Amino acid sequence: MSDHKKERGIRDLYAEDPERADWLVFGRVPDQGRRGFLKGAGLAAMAAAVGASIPFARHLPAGLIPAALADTTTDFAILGKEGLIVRNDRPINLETPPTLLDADVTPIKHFFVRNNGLLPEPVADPDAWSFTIDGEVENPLTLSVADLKRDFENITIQAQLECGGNGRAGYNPPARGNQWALGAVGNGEWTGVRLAEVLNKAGLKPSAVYTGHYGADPHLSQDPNKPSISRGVPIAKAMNPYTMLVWGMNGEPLPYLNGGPLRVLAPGWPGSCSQKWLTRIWVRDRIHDGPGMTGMSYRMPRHRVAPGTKVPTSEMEIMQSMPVKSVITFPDTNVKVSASRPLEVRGHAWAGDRDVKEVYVSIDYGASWQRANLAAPANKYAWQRFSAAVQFPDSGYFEIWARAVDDAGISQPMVVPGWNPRGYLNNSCHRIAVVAA
Amino acid sequence: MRGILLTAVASAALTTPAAAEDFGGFPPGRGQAETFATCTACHSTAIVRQQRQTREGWDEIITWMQDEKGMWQLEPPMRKLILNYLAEHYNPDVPR
Repeated sequence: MSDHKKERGIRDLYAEDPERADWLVFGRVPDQGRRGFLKGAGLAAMAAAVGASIPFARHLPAGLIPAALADTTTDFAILGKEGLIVRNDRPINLETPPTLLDADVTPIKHFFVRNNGLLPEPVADPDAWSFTIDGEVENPLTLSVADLKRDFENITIQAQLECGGNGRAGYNPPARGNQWALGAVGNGEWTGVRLAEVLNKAGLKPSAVYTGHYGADPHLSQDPNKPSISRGVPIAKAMNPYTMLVWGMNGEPLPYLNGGPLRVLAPGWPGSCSQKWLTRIWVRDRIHDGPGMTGMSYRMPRHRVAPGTKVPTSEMEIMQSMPVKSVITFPDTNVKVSASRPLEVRGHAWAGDRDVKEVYVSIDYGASWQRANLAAPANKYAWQRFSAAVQFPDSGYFEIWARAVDDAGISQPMVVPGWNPRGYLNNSCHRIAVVAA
Repeated sequence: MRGILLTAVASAALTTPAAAEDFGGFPPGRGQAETFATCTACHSTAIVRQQRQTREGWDEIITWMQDEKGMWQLEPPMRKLILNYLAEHYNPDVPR
């Protein structure tokens, strides 16, 4: 087994290629004097990681692991993320605890990370990143990020993005895959262009029915001929005015861990439709069949099945819109509160392609429900703020449950919904525990 | 200053990776080293340690990785050793 195939903690990264590790871990690029040229986000990240400012940072040689971190093996605070649950470190999969989802726009440092493959090589100039559109188009195109910025209308929208497997940990028998609990979701403010305009420039042929997306992230086996994942969407979703090619997030360049310099954003659909590190959109004359489109991946049984059923591939169909869901972001679970005054409960609700119409909260295990205040979304596909003041009748242990209802009248289930082989689409009510005294 | 820093670099580089010392958190038992070496060729042990599967479930996962994810074929005794290890330590009755 060669060195690069071992589990990689920070020390392994530095032992292998110190300057690349500097970039990966801190965004640090050495200047010509081979000193670590720390500034901006890179310095802030390193200072956060060692727990103090670094007065002589400009003298710290490139590729030198700070001594304070030499014993750390897996600290993803250092990759520009803070406070996230590490579900996996190779590939990197990071989940957000519910309280860190409290802001209307999820901060980059708290936005979840889902990867199927390894991280691609970082690039020095994001504007030079290019991708191709080919297949069932009149004019195949190769466009850079700079071309997108210059030649198409630049738009900024808020949109929630959720992993199709968010909530998988709730299923029994256990479904395989990352055991996401609640926080493989976030609401970003995305800047880019409408994919529809770019497809129109390429000129869709009548034979176009589906997109197939490809990214630069290497397959886990490091086989260059294998895409780590390649999913797509029907042409109607690709042409939706909210489906975008995105280079900016929350007013900053799209972060590397979230797919920068360029990704697809297909809001309301499983996050895997929103290819990171985009290199190619292959317009297909049939439903795309790349890795992640076939078999059991990102597919649900066509008919309801009993837990643990072996479902043949022919009975599985591709997931499209995510279901209605909500998360309580304040207070944290297991808090002590006063029984004598109302407690403000708040969070967010979203519903894939739909809007959320109502949110209810319960303090008696769903026996009765109180309607929460619900804000309109910032725009279509943004999640919606809910809040409610609950008054406990007595002291003791309570659970607060939240339940959202979408604009078609479909409610979140109070218990785990239909079991499925890979554990997708668990949108059961979020519950928190409080002790009132 | 420069000399001290270079010493620090050298000692950091000579340190054995923690992951190899503790088998990535895999518990001791027959098959521990073989399972660690096989799984971590492509991914860390974290994705394994999250799972709770029956022996049959683990067998399907290995077949799926071979069919879809570029995993190599295992000699039957090695496959049995790894399956036994996974089924013992990561079955649905083991608390998460």
